[in-house]
Amino acid sequence: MSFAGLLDFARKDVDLPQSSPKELLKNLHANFIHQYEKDKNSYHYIMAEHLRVSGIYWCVNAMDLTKQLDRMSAEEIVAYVLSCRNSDGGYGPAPGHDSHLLHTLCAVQTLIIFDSITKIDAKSICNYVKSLQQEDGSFCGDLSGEVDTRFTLCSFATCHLLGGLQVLNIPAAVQFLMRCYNTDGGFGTRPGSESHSGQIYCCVGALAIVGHLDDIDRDRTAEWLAFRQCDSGGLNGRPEKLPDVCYSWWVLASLAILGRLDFIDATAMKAFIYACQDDETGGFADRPGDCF
Amino acid sequence: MHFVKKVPTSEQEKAAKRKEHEKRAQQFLRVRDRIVAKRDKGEYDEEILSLTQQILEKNADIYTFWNIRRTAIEQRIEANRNYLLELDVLDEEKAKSAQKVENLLAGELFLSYECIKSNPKSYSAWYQRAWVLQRQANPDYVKELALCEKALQMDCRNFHCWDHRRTVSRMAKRTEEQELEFSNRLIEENFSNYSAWHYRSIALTKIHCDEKSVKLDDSILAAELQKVKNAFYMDADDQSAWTYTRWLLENGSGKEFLRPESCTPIQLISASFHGTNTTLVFTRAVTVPYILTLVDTDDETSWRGFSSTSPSPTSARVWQYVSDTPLQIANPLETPEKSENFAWMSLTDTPYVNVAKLKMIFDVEEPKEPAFIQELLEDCRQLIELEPKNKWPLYMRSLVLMEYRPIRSHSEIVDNLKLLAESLDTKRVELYKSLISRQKLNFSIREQFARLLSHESDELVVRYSELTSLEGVEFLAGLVGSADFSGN
Repeated sequence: MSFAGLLDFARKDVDLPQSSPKELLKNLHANFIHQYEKDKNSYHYIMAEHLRVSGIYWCVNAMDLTKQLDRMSAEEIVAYVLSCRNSDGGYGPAPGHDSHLLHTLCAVQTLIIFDSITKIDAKSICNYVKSLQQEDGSFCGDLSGEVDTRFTLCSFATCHLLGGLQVLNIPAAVQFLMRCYNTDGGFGTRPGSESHSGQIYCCVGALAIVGHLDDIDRDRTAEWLAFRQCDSGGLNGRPEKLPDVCYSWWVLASLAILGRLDFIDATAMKAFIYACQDDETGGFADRPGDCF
Repeated sequence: MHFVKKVPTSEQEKAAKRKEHEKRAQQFLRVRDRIVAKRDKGEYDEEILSLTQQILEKNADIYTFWNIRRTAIEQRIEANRNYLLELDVLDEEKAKSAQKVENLLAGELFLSYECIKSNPKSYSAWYQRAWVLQRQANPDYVKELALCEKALQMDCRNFHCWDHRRTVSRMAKRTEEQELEFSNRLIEENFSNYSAWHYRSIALTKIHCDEKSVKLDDSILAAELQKVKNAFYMDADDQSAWTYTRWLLENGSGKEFLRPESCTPIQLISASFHGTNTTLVFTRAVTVPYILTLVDTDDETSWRGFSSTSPSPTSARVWQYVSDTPLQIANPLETPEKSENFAWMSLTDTPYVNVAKLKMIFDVEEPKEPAFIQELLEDCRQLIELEPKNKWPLYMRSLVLMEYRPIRSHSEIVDNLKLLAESLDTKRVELYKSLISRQKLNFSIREQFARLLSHESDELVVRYSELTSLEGVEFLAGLVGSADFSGN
């Protein structure tokens, strides 16, 4: 970390350089993703194998949002995602890897974007999800046994998209989520864990899917999220941490679900996001000036 | 990439890096293929353990390889268990076999330690530790807790480590008092440690509260306030201290029964019949199966929940039962649910209204003020004088006033919130406006409260009051038939 970086770390915020981009470089990002998809022998592509199906979803979604989805090789991607299915009904990040709820959700999302959802067996996927629900309502992410509220969202979203929510024990799952609710309005990974923006997104999203948003103090949660905005306009994941562009998604999506997008300064946040762009290659860094 | 600065590189450097990368990628693919092939054949041998280790040391996030290791280890644990049951084996041999398993588990802790050293945020590497500890014959909790402390010294906010510590302290049967002491130590080292304050709030709740109440005694709240004020006096910009203070404030609040974490039993605020429907309002959100324990119908289908975020919520505070005959409810004044000796209450002529709770919800009366609240208000006032541009003391003072002096200090509250929105914290204008809106709504309802209760007129009038939201109005469903919100 540079000395300037150290100072930012101490004051828990950053400056936006004067020369930062001032608008969204849509085409540059689309080119960046397109190139990443083409270059399957690149080091970074190979070494990120354990994240791939999730990565594919984010890339495909970004291309869809920038209306450039037709640049992606739909057939090839769909075939690849389908090849990640395991005999337990779930999907792994790449062939040969174990099934995981995260990649199962991302597989379903990707196939929906490509209008290919009929190519999968919804029932076996929902049963895979159901097999990971524990007695206390929580979910393990995979056969490892690791429990986390992130996996409740993956489960709810997957089954909801496939019309199979009824296979899950929703009341028990909601009860578990509420055990992870903190008095500051946030949610953590497990009961007793500290509030975290990413975790709040998962829990608020999960509660919204099953119509239980009023179980929490919505404005209190929205307030905690609103205080994630730093003077620079960027959002952090927890109090007293540096802003990071990824939280623009986790925090903003949560505020949107709570109907409180207006609780933060949108103009300042956009300026921060724009400043995180790499105006040579496309792509975003976590904060202005870092590598993407 | 996180925290990695972008630096220019020469063509030569780039070429060298490319070559190195290519070599590493090919090597990864070779080893990965071998691991997967062996796993598919069920060969959970020494080689697969060594190969997965090779890769995990460089990338601890490949969870599939941890899964393979766990399967391999489970097989050895199982084999050892069966071996120990055999009759014709020497004790010495059995001890050797058991020791081998223990060595394997210890080695796993070492591998995970190496992984955490290079990637302290690896979910998989941390999970492996807890998994191993659960399988060791004599896990060394002292050593494990020391490891957590070391990791927290390097990054006191690492939530993976905090989560692991929670697991280990539970396994080691550490008392909450010990964990409270631990939080003391960390807070003393660095008062700006939100994680440690959070840990403290959980420990305190576990020590002093049970499933019937999450409220702490005033004496404890006062003592905690003494502790946290050192932190906000030292740095009035630090959110950790203010959030903790807010928790103390809300923990002692009379409106605790409305909060999601409350253990106070859910109560009816009102039940009223409106010609085509019976409307029920509760202190917290409830579901239809719950409501059916209180009413004289088993019909699950004619219910409609009201929520500002969903057209058809599963769980809501306000429910309507659509029918032109009124429901009867289990008399909330006697037994709160349909038990053996309960009486029905008819809603045909008059609605049921929980006046005491409504008074609290709309601040019709001010609650009794514990002594430490006075002190907190004074602390905030001093800090506002010292640092007039700092939003936190002014906001905290306003929150305290909203809780304890909403009537006496109505104009100060509104002025403070306006100052926050207009100059001290312009990033969150709408947040402050929503709080002003609620204060003005309460003000207006207070003025009309007696009239609404007397059933003279059931029209709620809140004109020109800068309302940005009608949040809270839903509690009046039993009293209000129509509303006039013009000019907002």
